[in-house]
Amino acid sequence: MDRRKFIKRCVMGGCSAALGAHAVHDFFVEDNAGGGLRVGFRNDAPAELWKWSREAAWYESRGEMVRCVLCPHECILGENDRGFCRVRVVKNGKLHTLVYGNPCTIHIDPMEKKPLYHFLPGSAILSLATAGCNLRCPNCQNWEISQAKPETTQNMDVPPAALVDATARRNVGSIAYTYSEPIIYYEYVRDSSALAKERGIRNVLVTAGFISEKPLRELCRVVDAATLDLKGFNDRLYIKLTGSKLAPVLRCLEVMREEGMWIEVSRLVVPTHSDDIEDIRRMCKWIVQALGPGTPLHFLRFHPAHKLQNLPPTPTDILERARDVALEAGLHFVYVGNVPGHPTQNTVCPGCKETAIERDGFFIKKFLLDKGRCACGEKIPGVWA
Amino acid sequence: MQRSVRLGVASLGITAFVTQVIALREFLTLFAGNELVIGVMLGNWMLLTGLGSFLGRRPGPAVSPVRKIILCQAASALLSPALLVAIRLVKQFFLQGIQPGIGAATIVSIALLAPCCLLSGFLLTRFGGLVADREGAAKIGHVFVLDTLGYVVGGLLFSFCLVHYFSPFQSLTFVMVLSLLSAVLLAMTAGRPALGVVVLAALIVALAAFWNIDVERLTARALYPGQELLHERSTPYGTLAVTRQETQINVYENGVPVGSTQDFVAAEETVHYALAQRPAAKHVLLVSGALTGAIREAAKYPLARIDQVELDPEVLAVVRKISAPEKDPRVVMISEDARRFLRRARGRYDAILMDMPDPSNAQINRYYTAEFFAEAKRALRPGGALSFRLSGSENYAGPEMRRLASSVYRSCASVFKHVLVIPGARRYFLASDEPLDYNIAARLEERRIETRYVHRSYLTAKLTEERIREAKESVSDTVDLNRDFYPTGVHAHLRYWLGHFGGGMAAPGLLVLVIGIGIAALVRASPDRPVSAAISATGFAGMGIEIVLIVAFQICYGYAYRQIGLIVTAFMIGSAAGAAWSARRAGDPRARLARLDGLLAVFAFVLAPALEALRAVDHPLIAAGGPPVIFPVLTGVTGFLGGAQFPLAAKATFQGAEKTFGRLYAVDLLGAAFGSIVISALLIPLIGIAGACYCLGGVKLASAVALRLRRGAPAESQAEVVRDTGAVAPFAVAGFVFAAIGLLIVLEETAAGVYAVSFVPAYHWALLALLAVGLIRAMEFDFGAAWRRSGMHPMRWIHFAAFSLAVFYPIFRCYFKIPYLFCHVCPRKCVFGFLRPWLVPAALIMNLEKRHWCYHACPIGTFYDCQARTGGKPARRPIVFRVTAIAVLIFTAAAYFMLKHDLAEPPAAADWYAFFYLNAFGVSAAVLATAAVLIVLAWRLRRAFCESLCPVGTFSDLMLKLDRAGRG
Repeated sequence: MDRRKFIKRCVMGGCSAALGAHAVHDFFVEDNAGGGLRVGFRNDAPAELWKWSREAAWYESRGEMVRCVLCPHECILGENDRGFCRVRVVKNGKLHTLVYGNPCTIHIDPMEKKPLYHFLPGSAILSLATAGCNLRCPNCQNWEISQAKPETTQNMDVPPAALVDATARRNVGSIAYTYSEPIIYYEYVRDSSALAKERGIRNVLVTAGFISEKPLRELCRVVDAATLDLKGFNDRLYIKLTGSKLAPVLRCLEVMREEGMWIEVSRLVVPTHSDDIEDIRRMCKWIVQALGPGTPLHFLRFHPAHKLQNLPPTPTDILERARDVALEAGLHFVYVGNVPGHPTQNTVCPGCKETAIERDGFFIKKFLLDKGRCACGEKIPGVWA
Repeated sequence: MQRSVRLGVASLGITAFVTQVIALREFLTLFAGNELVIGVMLGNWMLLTGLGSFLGRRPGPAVSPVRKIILCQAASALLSPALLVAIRLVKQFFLQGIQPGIGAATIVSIALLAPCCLLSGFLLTRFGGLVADREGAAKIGHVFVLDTLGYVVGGLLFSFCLVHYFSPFQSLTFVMVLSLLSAVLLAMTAGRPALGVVVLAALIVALAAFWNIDVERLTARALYPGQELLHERSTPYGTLAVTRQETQINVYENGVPVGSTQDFVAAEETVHYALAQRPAAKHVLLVSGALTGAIREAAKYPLARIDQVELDPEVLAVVRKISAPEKDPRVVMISEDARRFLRRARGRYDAILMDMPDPSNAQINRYYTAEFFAEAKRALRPGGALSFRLSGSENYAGPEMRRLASSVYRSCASVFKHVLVIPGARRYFLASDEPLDYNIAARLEERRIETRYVHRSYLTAKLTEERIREAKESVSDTVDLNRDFYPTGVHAHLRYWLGHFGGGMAAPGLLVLVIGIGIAALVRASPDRPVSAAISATGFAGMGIEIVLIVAFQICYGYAYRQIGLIVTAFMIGSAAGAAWSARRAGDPRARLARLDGLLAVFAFVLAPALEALRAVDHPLIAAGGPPVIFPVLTGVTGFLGGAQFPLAAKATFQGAEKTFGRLYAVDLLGAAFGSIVISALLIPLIGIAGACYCLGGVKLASAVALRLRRGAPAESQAEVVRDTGAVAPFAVAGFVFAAIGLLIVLEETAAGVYAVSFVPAYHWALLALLAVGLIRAMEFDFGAAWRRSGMHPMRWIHFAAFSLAVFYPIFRCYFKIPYLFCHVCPRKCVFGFLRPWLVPAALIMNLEKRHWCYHACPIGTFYDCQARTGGKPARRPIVFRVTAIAVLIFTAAAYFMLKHDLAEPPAAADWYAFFYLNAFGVSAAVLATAAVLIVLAWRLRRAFCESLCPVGTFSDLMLKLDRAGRG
C-alpha cells in the first residue's frame, strides 16, 4: 500500500467515524425541535391565505418552529405545515386558522337533537360547523366535514356578526357549534359567542372535549352550555377509537363545571368497543363525583357510519342495562338516545318519581316544571329559560 | 407416469379454480364488495400465479426432479384450506368492525395469497417440464389444455355441486384430498413409493384433524366477535350469518350487518315514505329489504297482496326463521332476480319499495339505471310510486356523493314526472307520475298507522324547508345519466367510497404500474417481442370481453349464479378447445397468431352493436336462448380465439418447455390481471360497454399490426437474450421502486404523508449510518474471499432501498426548476436537501479511490446498472455529454458559492436565480421529461444521467484523473 492510498484510507475512515458519531449523537440527544416527525401534515399549507384566515389564538413560537397549544396534540409545526386538525397552518412564522367565518353547513335543529334535554327544551337552535376536527373517529357521522380540509368543502361566508344577525332575524334563541368539532374553529366560536352573548343569544358547544385548559377557560366565559361526548372511560379505547386521550377530556369536563357552564354528557355505546358494563360503571361513578348526580347522561345507540360499517347497531338491552348501572351509581337523569320511541326519553323527577317532562322524539309533549321545579317541589337542574 | 402427470396438471387446475373462487368470496366478506376490490383481488391472484410460473422456469431442457414436484404439490394442496383459515383470522388484526380501504385490501390480499398462488404457478411450469409424450412446443400446448380443462372441471364442480351442498371449508378439503391423491399417484408411478406413503400419511392426518375440529365453525365464529353465531351458510350469492347479541338478532350478508330485529328505522323508511302517499294501494312489491323487517311494516296497511322478491333463497329461509311465525296470507316470497321478475310484471303494482345497497358493482347498479326505472314504471299501475335509497349524509353532501345522487336522480327523473328526495343519513327517493309530497307524518296519522321513527316527532326536524331545499340542490349537478350499458353510477360510487379513506387510488395505481412494468420487462426479455406482447394483450382483451359479456348478461337476463357459472365455464372450454385445435395445425405460427388477433379484434368490434341489439330486442327466442346458448357461445368463441394463440406463441418463441411456458403464462396472466383491475372498475363505467369493446378490439388490432410489421429477432441475439432474461427481475424491481416513489410523491393525497415519513429521525440516522458503512467498504479492506463474496450485491440493494426516497425525491418535487443544486438556500428543504451536507461529501470521499458511491451505493446508479443488463451493447459516450457534464459542474459550484443566504424571502425578479425559484414544492414536467429521456437514452448510452449531468460523478471523474496523472 503506498502513501497515497494510506492517506485516502485515512480520510475515508475519518469521515466514516465522524458520520457515525454524528448519527449516534443525534440518536441520544433527540432534540425535538430539530428534525423529526410531528403530528400534522408537513408542507401542506395553501399557497396563499384566504379571507377566512386569522392569526390563531393559543400558539407559541419556538425559534423557527411554532407550537400550537389549543389542544393537547400540541402540534409542533414548521413553515407551511398544517396541524393535525387540518385547519391551522403556519405562514411567515405565524400560526393561522383557515376557518374564521366560513361554515360549510348551517341548519336549524331542535335542541333535543344535540342532545340537550335540560337546556331550553323544545326550542330551536341554529347549528353550524366548519370543516376539520382534531380527532379521527372511524365512525364519524359527519366525516365529510370533519375529515376534510376547509379548502375542499363548499363553505359559506358568514362572519361572526352576520351569524348572530341571522340567528336573531330568525327568532332563534341559541347557537350550537357542532357537527364537526368546535374546538378547532376556536376563534370563530369565541368571537361569535361574545357577540351573541351581548344580544342575549345563548351559545352551546357540542364537542368531544379534547382541548387544553387555558383556551377552554377563556371559551367558558362566553359559552353557556355544552354537551360533551365521552366516548369511553379508558385510554386504550380513546386512542383506538379517536386518536386522542381520555385525561384531557375529563379535565375539560371538570373545568367546564368550575366555570359554571351547563353540561350534559353523552356516550355512544359501540358494540365490542365501548359496551363494557364495568367501564360504564366507572364512568358513571366519576361523573357523579366530579360533575354531580344532576348531570344528565345520554346513552346513544350506535349505527354503522364512515369506516365502521361492519358492526351491528347496539342492542337496546345493553343500553337499558347501562342506564340501570348509571342510576345505581347515583345519576338522576339518564336517557337512552337514538332509539325512536324508547320510554326513557322522559325526564323523571328524582324526588316524587313522576314524569316531569314527556318527550316524543324531538318534541316536548308535556312540560310540567314551573321555574325548574317539579310539582312536588324538587328542583330539577337545568337551564329552563 | 404420464397419465399421472396429466392428472396432476388437471388437479392443479381444479384446485386453483375452486380455491380462487372461495378465497375471493372470503375476501369480499373481509373487505367491501365493489368492483375495484373485486378487480384487485382477482388481479392479485393472477399476478402472483404469473409470478410463480415465471419463477418456475429454468434455462435449458433439464427435467425437474420429480421429488420436488411431488412435495410442492402436497404443500400446495395443504395451503388451500390454510388460506381460508388465514383469511378469516386476519380480521383479528384490524380494528373490530372497520371496513379496510383499498390500500389495506391490496397489501393484505397480496400477503395472504402469495404462498398459495406462487406455489401454484411454480408447479404448473414444472409440470410442463415433466410431460414426456409430446415434443418441444407441443408440450406447452398440452399442459395449457390440461390446466384449462382442470379449470373447467373445477368450475362445473363448484357451481353445480360444491357451492350448494358444502361449506367453503368442506369444498377446500375436497380439493385438497384430490390434489394429495394425485400427488400420491404421481409418486407411485414415478418410482418414489416412499414419498407417496409420506404424502398419504399427511393426507390422513389432515383429514383426521379436520374431522375432529370444526374449523368452519371456529373460524366463522372468529368473524363475529361479541356475538353468538346462530347460523352460518355460504350460498352462491354470498355468505349469510345470523348472530345474537343479548336479545337482538343480527343478520350479516358478506360480513356487513344488513338487518337486526331491534332496528326498525330502515324498514320504516323503506315502506312508509312511499306507501303513506298511495292510500289506494292494494298490491305492493318489496325488493330486497326482507331482513330489515320491511314486510312487517308493509303489513300495517290494508293491502291485498305483498310480494317480497329476494335474489337469494337462503335469505328468505332466514327471514322465515327469525321473524314472528304468524303467517300473513297476503305475503308471497319469491326468490328470483328482481329485475327479471319485474320485466314480467306489467302494470301490476301500486308501489315498488326497494332496499338495495349502494351501486358499488355492476350487479347492483342495474337497479339504479334509467332503463331499470323505465322497467319499474311499466310494472307499476298508472300513478304508482317507486321508492329506493342511496347513502346520504344528514348535514353535508360532499362532491362525490352529490355526483352519485345527481346521476341517479337524473336517470329517475328522465322516466318519472315527479321525483322527491328525502334528506337524511339514508337518502330516499320517491318517484311517481302522480304528485308526491312531504306531508308523510300527517297522512300516517290520518290512517292511524303506528310508526316510531317515520313519525311527526322526528320528521318535523328531518323535513324542514331548509333541509329539503338542500337535498334538492344536492341532486342538481349536471352529470351523465346512469345507464345499463354506461354505468356511471359504479364509478361515482367508487369515488365516494374512496373518499372515506385517504390515499385515493394510489394502491391500485401502484399495482397497475407494477403489472405494467412486469409486462414490459417480460416482453422485452422475450426472444420475439411482438409475440409476447400479443399474448399479453390477449390476456387483457380476453379477460375484458369476458367481463363485458358477464355484465351484459346480468343486464339482459338478471343475475343467476348457475348461469354465470356456465358462461365462465364456456369461456374455459373454448380456451381449451382453441389450444387443442391450434396445437394440431401446421403453418407459420406468427402469421396465424396475427390472423387470430385480427379475428378477435373484429369480434370485439362487432360485439358492441350486437349486445345493444340483444338488449333492445324483445323476442321470446332471445329471452329463452340467451342464457343456455347465446352467451355461452359468445364467451366460448372468445376463449377459443384466445386459447388458440397460446400454443402458437409457444412454437414461435420456444426455448425449452419450462422456460417458454413460464414466460408465456406469466405474460398472459399479467395481462389478465391488468385487465381485471382496470376494466370493471374504470373502463366500463367511464366509457361504457360499447366503448370498452372498441377499446379492447383496438388493443388486439394494435398487436396484430405489430406482429405483421416486426419480424422476429435474428438467431444470433438469441443467446444474448437467453442470458439477459435473468436480468429482468432486478430491473423490474428497481423500476418499480422508482415509479412507486415517484407516484407517491407526485399524487396530492400521499405527498404530505411521504414528506412526513422522510423526516422521521430514524430514517436520517439509518442513512448516516449507511454512509459510514459505505465509507468503510470504500477503504477496501480485504478480509478474505468470504468478505469479498458477501458484500457487494446485498449491500448495494440495501443502499438502494434506503437511499431511494432521499435521492429520488427532488426529481419529482423540488422548490426549484432544477433539482439537487440549490438545496443550501432552499427555504423548505426536502429530505435530500436536509441530508445533502453529509451525503455529497461522503459520496465524494467514497469515490476517492474508485467510483465506489456511484457503483455500489447510489440508487440512480443501481437503477441504471440493472437497466444496462437488460439492454444491448452500449455506444460510446458522445462528446456532448462531456460538455454538459462540465457545464453542470461549473453551474453547481457557482450556485453553491454565489448564493449564500437562505431564500426565506422570494428572490427579486432581477436576481439570476429567480428564474429557477418556484416558491412551492412543484412537480416539474420538464424535470420528469428529462428523467424519462435519460432513462430511454440509457438503453443505448449507459448511465445517461451519471455521465452527462451528475456533478458528483463529474467531480469524482476529475479527481480520479488528477490522481492518475499525479501517479505518473
